[in-house]
Amino acid sequence: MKQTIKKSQQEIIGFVLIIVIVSIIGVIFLAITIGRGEPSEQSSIQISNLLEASMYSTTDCVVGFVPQYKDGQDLVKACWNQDRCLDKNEETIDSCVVLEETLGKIISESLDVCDDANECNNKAYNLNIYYSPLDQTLPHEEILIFEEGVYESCRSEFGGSHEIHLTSLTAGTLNLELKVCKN
Amino acid sequence: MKIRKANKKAQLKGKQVSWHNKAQLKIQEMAFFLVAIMLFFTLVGLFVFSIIFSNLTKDASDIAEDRTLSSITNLADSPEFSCGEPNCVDADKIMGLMQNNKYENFWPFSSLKVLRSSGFNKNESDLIKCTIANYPDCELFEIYDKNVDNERTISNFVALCRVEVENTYPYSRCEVAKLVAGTKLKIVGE
Repeated sequence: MKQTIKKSQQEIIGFVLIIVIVSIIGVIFLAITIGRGEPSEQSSIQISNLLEASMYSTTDCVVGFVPQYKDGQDLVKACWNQDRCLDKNEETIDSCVVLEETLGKIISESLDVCDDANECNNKAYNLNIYYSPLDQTLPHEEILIFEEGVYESCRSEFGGSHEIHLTSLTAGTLNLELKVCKN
Repeated sequence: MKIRKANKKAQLKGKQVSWHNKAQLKIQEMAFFLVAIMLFFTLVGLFVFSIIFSNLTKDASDIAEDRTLSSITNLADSPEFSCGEPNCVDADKIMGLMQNNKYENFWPFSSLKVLRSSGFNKNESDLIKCTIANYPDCELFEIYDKNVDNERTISNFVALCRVEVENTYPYSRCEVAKLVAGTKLKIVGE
């Protein structure tokens, strides 16, 4: 009789121990799963304001004569229309090339982008400029995509966007979406 | 007769011991079961609370940041700064503001500065401060600075525009700049 009691007591202790161990393992597993989850992408007012400010900035793209420089917004429109512009030496140049150079310089200066985590806050960025027609069922049309740095293994991601409304016959919007990968 | 009585007593004692052990076992079983249940619900509760409170903290910090940033955006759009477009400040107006120290008590910030893009990745000591003598070949417009302790600065990107003349034609030249506002951190107990 005593042996049976001892045996059942041991079984109960074993059962409780298993429950405790399984619960602890479960909690650790959940914590790891949640902690490791894909970095969430946050929308940032600062990034949207940076894009908005860059649309006012004066570029080196000249229309007609110096000093009739295009601003960032007009340069995006010129790139969408595949226009060419004059540089300071009055030679024609593809407006999309000037757009990539100008925006690339502004963004990397403003966001402090480089590979070294000790030197810079941000690792990489990705800028996507596309046209979206008024009819939402129609697909987007890509205008320009460029990035700096290696956009992978980000600690966190944040981004912003800016819209340019077209008032021509081809109504719709030109969208700029900037995503930043944090070191 | 005596032997019979002794036998009966021993039998009763044996029954009592087994009954006693059974009850102990039941109590032990119940105690273990309660411990397991409590542990389980505590873990579930902790998990749920951690999810709820992590979201709350994130939401609170997001709202606080949005509020501060929108106050700077509003500042950029105020008549004292605005170049006429949203989120755009006039460099000539800033030079005018710098000459007037009455604005130190006008805005609820302990310091107010505008940093040009050429000075974005430089130390503050290396920046060329703007004066009437060196404008526009400078990097930092210091509108005012109350030099308070425990200051936290918040910055926002704005367009900085000024009128320039090239080939005898005046035009508006704009660039990206940072509007930097400082606020004094309130320490509990102060």
